[in-house]
Amino acid sequence: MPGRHSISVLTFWRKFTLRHFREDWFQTLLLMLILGLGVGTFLSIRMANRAAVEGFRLFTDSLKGASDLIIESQGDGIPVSRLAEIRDSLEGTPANLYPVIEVALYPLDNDISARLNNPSTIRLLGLDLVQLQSLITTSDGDEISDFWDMLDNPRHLLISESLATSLGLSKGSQLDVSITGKKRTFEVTGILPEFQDRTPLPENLAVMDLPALLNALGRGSVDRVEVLVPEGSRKSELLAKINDTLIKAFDGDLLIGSPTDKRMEGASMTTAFRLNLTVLSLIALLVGLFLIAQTLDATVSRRRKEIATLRSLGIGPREIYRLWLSEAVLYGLAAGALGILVGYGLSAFTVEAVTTTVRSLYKETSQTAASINLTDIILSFSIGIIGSLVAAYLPARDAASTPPAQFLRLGKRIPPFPLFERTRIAFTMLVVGALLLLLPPWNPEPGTNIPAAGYATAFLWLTGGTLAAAFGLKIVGWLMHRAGGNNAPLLLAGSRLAQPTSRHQLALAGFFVAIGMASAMTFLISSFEHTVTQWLQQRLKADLFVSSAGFQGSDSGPKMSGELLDQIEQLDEVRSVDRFRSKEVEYSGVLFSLAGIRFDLLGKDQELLWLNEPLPVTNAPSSFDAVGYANENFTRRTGTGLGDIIDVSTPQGTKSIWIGGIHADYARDNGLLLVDLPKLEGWFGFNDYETASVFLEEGVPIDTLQIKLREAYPGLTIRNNSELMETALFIFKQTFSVTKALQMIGLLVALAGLILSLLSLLRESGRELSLQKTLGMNRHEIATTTAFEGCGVAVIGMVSGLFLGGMLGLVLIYVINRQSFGWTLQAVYPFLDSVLLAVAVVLLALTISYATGRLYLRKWRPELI
Amino acid sequence: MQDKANTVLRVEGLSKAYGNQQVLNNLAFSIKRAERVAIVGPSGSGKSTMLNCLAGLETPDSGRIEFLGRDLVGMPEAEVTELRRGNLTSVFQFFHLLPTLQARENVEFPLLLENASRSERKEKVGELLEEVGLTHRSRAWPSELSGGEMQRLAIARALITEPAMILADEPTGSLDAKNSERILELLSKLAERHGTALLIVTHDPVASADCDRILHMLDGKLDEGAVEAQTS
Amino acid sequence: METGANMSILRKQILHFLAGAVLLSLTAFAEPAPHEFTYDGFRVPQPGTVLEFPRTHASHPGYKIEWWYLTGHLYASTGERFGYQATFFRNGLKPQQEYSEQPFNNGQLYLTHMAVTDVSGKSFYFEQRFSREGWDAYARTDRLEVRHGNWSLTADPDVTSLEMHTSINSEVQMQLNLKPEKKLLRFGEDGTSRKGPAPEARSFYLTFSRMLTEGSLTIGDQQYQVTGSSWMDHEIASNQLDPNYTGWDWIAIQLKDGWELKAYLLREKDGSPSPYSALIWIDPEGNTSYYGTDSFEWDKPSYWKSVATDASYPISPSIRTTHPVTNQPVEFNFDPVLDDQELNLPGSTYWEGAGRILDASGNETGSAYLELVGYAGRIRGL
Repeated sequence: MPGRHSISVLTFWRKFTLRHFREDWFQTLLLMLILGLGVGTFLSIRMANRAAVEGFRLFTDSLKGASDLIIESQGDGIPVSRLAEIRDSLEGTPANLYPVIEVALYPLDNDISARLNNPSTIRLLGLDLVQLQSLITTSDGDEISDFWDMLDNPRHLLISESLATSLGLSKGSQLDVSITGKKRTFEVTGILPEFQDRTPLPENLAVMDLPALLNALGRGSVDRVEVLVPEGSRKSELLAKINDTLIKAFDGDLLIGSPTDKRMEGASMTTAFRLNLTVLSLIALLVGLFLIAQTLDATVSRRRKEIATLRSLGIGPREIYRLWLSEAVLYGLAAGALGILVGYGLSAFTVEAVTTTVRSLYKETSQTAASINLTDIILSFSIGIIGSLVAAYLPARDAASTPPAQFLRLGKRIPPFPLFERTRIAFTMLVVGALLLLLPPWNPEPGTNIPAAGYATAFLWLTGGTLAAAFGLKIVGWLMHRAGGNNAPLLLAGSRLAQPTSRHQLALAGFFVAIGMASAMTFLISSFEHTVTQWLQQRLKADLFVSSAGFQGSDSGPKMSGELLDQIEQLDEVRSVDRFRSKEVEYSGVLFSLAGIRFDLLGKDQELLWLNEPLPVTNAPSSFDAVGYANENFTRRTGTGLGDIIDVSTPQGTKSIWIGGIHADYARDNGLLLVDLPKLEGWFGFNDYETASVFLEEGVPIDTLQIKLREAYPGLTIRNNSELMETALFIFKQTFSVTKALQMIGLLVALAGLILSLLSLLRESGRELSLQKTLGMNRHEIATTTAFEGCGVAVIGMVSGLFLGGMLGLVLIYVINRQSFGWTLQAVYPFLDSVLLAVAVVLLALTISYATGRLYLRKWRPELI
Repeated sequence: MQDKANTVLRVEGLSKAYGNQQVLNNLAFSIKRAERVAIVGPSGSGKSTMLNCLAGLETPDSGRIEFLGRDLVGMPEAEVTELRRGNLTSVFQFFHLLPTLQARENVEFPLLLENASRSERKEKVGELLEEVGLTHRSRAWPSELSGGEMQRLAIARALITEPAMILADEPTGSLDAKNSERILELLSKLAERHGTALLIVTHDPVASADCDRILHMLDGKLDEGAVEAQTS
Repeated sequence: METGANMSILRKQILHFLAGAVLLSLTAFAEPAPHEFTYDGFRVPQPGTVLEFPRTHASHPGYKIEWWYLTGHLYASTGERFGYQATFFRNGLKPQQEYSEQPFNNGQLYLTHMAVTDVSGKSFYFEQRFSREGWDAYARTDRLEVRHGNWSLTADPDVTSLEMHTSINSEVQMQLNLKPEKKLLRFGEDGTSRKGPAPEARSFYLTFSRMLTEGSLTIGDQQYQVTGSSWMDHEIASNQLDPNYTGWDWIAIQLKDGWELKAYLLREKDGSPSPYSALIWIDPEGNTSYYGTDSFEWDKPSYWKSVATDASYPISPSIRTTHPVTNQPVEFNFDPVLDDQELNLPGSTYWEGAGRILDASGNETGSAYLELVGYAGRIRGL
């Protein structure tokens, strides 16, 4: 007898694994697809997240390469007269300085604006075109005189090729636009090629020579100065030196930051949002892992005889274990590869969805294409392989515990995984999860709250719930068994569920998790929509709402000048006009929106939705500069509360604001602090506004005035109450577009998983089905048995999943969202959706499992028993 | 006439081939009511295929299988199933108990399919468990039973519908010598008591000891010359 | 995109600069009195003009073209040898009298080239910038102060000491102090230097042919204290270019014995040297002697082929003439310190680099800067 028998992994794969893949190609393919979808969803969300952060890149980057530093003012721009001062401060240190103006413009011609892609504004950059040599290589031939003539033409405009195509504009076209609420006419003097050194230009980009744009806007200041340190071995040293020099020279006067800061700022603003997405994308992955476990488990049972034979040939349990894990690696590799493909395919969609969401939630970003990098590829394979190994652990151990053939007692049921029998562990996890909810959020940096405990709870509940559901399955099986005293199919199905195999448990677990997560998302979304609708109804009290054409709700959008609003306020029909303007400022490391509205209108025309009514001014401390009304996010992000005083720095020096009330506001999740508008105007010295609310005198017909204003001010968008409501809801729908997409993917995976699980579960019961046939059960009776069995699993998964979904939904609403976004939502459970889902799932399960039982017998062979 | 009325099973010209291999070659025999017949032959002689044909699980290429006067060949699937459920039951080498049902439920199962009343089921299950000596184990799971006990349970299940004939496929194949003897004895005794014909297919000459007749099978043919009549 | 028709207008602009600047400095022939203004309103340098100093060292936006052109040879205390070139061009699109002080002035453009040759490191660094006049690029009109980004050239009011800050990308940073060692030269017998047959084709042409140079030079992580000698031209003109040239070879030699020598060869379309080519001797006191083409020979014994552009340059010329004092034949063999001193700039590639001057027997008698233009394809604007 040879001393040691061994079997090479390759031989094993060739002789066993691949043969099974071939025989069950459909099932194997479906499994691979689900796994790929799992890894792919995760990957695409990751790519979309990255694109969203990348989107915070400056629009100028694509034209001149990424900047190294950005100089901005605390007030309203950097006066052009100070540019030389910035240059002088650097002495001889090499650095290229690029002054930039970035404004939004909106085409006034309806035909043209209808052709614009989202977002509906055009980003207009004012750049020194002489300085940016490469940019001037326009796509059509030009002469020196053309170029200088263009610079001398105050109405010149260069537009990107994509914009020219989508708007149907060409060189020489005239374009009426609204800038800062005023109408201007530009002439397209050149088309920028689509690529600058292979970098695609952002969509909707227009460029003007800086001095001409300064003139057109009547401004004497630029928005920022971008600093680019030339390439070379000393770059990082020089960059550090320049940074220090600038900070020393302009501290407290100008803001010096890196684009990375800017991106990080965007990134940290969206940290919570992106984390939520990532966690959601794990749904698909998790379900995929259950499916791997299930498939491997099914193959273990199918190949039990083979394993037993191998064992009797002297292959040790350890080796069997390794061989099974190696098969899991094969699945993992396939899942990884497929995941990359699926992820790349999905990313086009998710990037769009995430960018849309980020745009409506945070600020204007440039759309960047999803790109896949090496980390993604490594990650994809790692997730695939590690996940598969984790999933394969139990089945592999099971396979390894197979006794040699001569001891295998045929006809005996292989006991399920012991882990699933541990109800005590299950309930401990559920309880610990509940207790974790009492912990505060994790606060890695100021203003960023990550509900770590909430996520831990979700994880514990998912895992514990999986085990608890397995316990539930046994109880239901027992009840069915009891109830089936007179009904053979029910009796038999019940008895199988009461003594589940590992495949029953894994099928249930996968389905439970998928339903739980998907229904939790549905719960959250329905609560969110309900809450926002209610809030909007409270908030939109004015008769007419005015904004600059193209204003989309982000603070970098176009603004309208105060003079126009003054004119409107002078009209006889108008009782009052409230104006809104926000400034991004910092308090203890947190950037938030400090905004002004007219406090004198509060309680008369204007309303806020109070969470804490304003304190009487008698409660106020003796000295402060202004009363502020904070929203919930502000207090959460800054850790402040009612009655606190905070200091913010303004061009007029440090101002202290006393928080005298807290109101609900779902529009800005980076925190909003309202002060009386005249104060804000005084501190920051501006006379342009983002939005305005117009309150009419009694009896003035809204429609008439709306038409009148529209004619008088073509550069303004004048909306009435219901129109604005529609717009606002549209924006909020966009906000949740990613979440909705994930919800759909979750459901899809859940249903596909259910089908696969049932197919696998029932087909692996082949021996028992054959036996039923020899015992004289007809096809209908056998199919009824499988239908009972499949429905049993589906219904338990459904019910427990919906229960889990409800609980997770509450955690999402009351813990995770409140901690990360600072939104208190009213929980509204989507009963109709849940019932529809439940009915659909049960019908699907019934169909699949009945059909499986019936069709199975077609392939029946006597050898099977 | 008398003879025909007493015949439970009549096989004529039964042939079956898998590809070029003739597995059953023009078999002909008959079994009378309460007769115990053994078909003995080495592995690969076609015993199992023949049994599958008799149970209606496989269709022969040609020939007739008359069971209680009706030809199984070409009989609708539903009617064959009906037969398997009540009148033509089986006992297998590997017992084939339903693993998720208790002992008594396994025995009761065929009656459930026949929609027998609860009291009838209870009474019959009790009687049969007693006959096979498993009354004390009626609530045991199959996995808790020994091989001999499992086969006794399977015999009880095969008898509960009072079938005209039991097909036993290597009923002692998984059992040790002592248990084999007891099972054959039990099978034989109960078949006789219930007036059930019994067809045992085995490669073990010992298993045929208690039978009325032994047919030898070799290469798909019944050896006519070897047919012996025996008295118990 | 890089076809002739579509070539960037800026590149064309740069070439106008280059071609104008160099050609302008090459010729000096007497002619009748020119017009006071060009057709587009720029001033024309008038013969016999009394130049006001130090005002003349500053910028003259009433004239169309002006440049401050420095080259030099530097030696580190640790023995390493370097060469540098710094060229600030101003080009007026609209005539004006004074520095406008507007933050963005479309009427004046600035083009600047910087190059450094690291002999021991066998590296050549260069960078080009282009800007309109304004907050980041300007030349004052009251005193010598020219700036382009972080690059600057400034002088004390009497121009006895100049400061220059330059850099090349994030590799090289250089800070030099330059002190004229000889009096300022003004070329041209009537005080204007002629560049062609048209009477308006003349310039004010000022040169410091030898300046004691000290400062620091950082290349990568190495910092050197350097000393050496520089040459500076300042030229002011408004003239148009002569279209008959295909390029030029130009050399400025500083000899160890205190003499300098400037020579240039204008190449006509048919390949022959133009009669406007010349050689000028400068004695240790700053007196000049002019030689025409019949008084010197410029041989091109070998060519170097650029890997980057495929252009071939005669980088080792041999110049033979007679000494103005001794009347003995002399030979100047230019031996570049580095072959690759090509400024590969889109559309305006040329070779300009430092070298040693060897006599007929191979002894090093001085240093020189050689400029070779028109060898990398057709020069636009000519």
